[in-house]
Amino acid sequence: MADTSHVRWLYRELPDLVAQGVLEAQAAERLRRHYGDPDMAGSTAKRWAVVLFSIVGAVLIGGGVILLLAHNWDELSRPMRALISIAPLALTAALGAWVLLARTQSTAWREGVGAAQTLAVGASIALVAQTYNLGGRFDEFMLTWSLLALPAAYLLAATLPALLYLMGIMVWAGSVTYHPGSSLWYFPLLAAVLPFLWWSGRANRYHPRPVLLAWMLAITACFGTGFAVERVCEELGARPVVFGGLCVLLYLCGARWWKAAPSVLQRPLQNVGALSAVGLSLVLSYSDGWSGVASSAVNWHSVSSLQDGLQLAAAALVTLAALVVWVRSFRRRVWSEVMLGAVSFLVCAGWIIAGMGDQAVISAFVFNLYLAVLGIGTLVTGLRGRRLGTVNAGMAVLAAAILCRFFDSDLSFVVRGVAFIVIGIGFLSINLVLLRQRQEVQP
Amino acid sequence: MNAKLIFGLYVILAVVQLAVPFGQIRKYEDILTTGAVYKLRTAPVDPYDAFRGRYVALNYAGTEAPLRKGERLENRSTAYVALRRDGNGFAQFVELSGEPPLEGDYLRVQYFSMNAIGEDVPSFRLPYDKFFMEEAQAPQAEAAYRKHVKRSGDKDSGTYVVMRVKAGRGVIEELYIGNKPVRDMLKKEGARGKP
Repeated sequence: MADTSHVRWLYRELPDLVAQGVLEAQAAERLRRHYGDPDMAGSTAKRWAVVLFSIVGAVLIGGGVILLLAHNWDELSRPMRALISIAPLALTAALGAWVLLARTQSTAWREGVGAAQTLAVGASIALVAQTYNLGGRFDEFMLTWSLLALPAAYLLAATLPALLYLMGIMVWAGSVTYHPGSSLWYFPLLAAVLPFLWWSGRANRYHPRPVLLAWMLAITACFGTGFAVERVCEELGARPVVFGGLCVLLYLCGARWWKAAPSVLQRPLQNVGALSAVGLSLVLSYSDGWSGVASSAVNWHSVSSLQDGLQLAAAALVTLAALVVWVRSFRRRVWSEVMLGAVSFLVCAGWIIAGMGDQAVISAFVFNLYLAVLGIGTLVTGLRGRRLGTVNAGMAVLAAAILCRFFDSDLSFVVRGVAFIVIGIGFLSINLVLLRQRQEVQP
Repeated sequence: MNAKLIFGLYVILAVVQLAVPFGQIRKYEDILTTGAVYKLRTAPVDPYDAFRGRYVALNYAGTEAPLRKGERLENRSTAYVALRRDGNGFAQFVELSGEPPLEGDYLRVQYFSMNAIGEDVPSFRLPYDKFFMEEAQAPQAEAAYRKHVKRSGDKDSGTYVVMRVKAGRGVIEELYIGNKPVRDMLKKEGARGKP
């Protein structure tokens, strides 16, 4: 979103520009339409501030009530304590019904009550368990809480229940990794929240709500997918393959759907996907990064049950989907996407090579080469387009790859020190040159 | 979606959300009223889990039992342990199985293929590992629990819980330290400490 003070300045200038013939009247009108009313932008920001405060207020009040109840008042009888534990939930449910009847249009009310109700559901289950001294199982608690909270997201159009749900199913999948059949349910559970994400972004996908949801989706999906196919990944040493595929899938989906994001923060899938892909590539540039893939460690025989087969199918599907999307980018000749998306192909190739008689060194070498190509390629793309952010991203990839190799080797402190200084000078000089060029273009 | 339908669905959601904790209360009150009474000997807790704050962390002695003949269970899966009462009312763990026994009392537990010291002995974890108290009392009770369990060893520490058991579920009725209900013991120690 453009800074409203700049938009106001532009609007003051427009009549003069049109009068002096610098700009045509239609072009000025198109600019007005593009940037919209700056006063409206201010009121939107204020509205969102009210919504945020309503969520924070509801969470604080709810948290305070829960803490009071958690004191475990000995003076009250056990059934009385248990019934009081349900009171906040009953209250927030009644408030929710009132909001749906009388305040349907108020985002602040819907978000606030949705947040409070989500907290109240978890608190009532936990407090009843506390009243009856039930340690209980954390996975069962998280799943119950998440499943009961999600419908509130749809019915109240509230964000927090959906955020909690995404977090909750990830934590649940992490606590049932020992049971391959159960952890696989992560995928259908994840599918249950996706329509809400689509619905909240259908009018404006750069709105804070879908962006926040997409950040949570990207981060939790990375962990959740790993947990869901943990057993197969462990037995086959396929963790890098699945994780690489997921990173690429996130990045390429983000590049397609959040393409015109005005700020970095509004590109959640691209950021999480790209950072994770580069992080994974750095790990795989070490021979030890392939240690689980050595042929002796891969245990195909252990993948014997139906649940294991389903996990294998899910892992293969993630990898295949990434490869298909990558090939589509290749056909469309979008080189920035092709370069980063190559991780999914290279990690598959590296996994096969490393599995053929302990050839981890070759796979690690391939990833060193890839990081160099990715870094230089990104740097060149940035320089050509004079995009400072892309240049710095390319430099960062190159610097990280070089630094990793330096920590890996037995070179002396003097050599390492000189190399760090050279990389630092390179960073500074390229940034200075680009900034100067930009100032020359915009005097 | 029209407003009436959304409101109707919301009412159903609210009823389901309330039914879950309310159903728990009904179930556990029923267990406390009609469940069979067992005493379960406790054991020292992991010292690294020392600070709990609002509850006494519990561990149980002798949580090992043979697997039912011909059965094989996945490590950490849900299992059922059959119970028997000894002469003093203490629970004895008879047998572990993936299915609840047809007769007698039993508890739903989490099965482990190895015991606490890493031997290949079928063992299990009871989910009743917390005894909640008022925040001022809980740390004192926990300290007393640790002292008694360590001082007297596993067998005759007089530290145990009384639990009601029904249909695989258990609810702790009371925690005993030095053969006294924990709150009585704390009152007595508090009175002794006063000048």
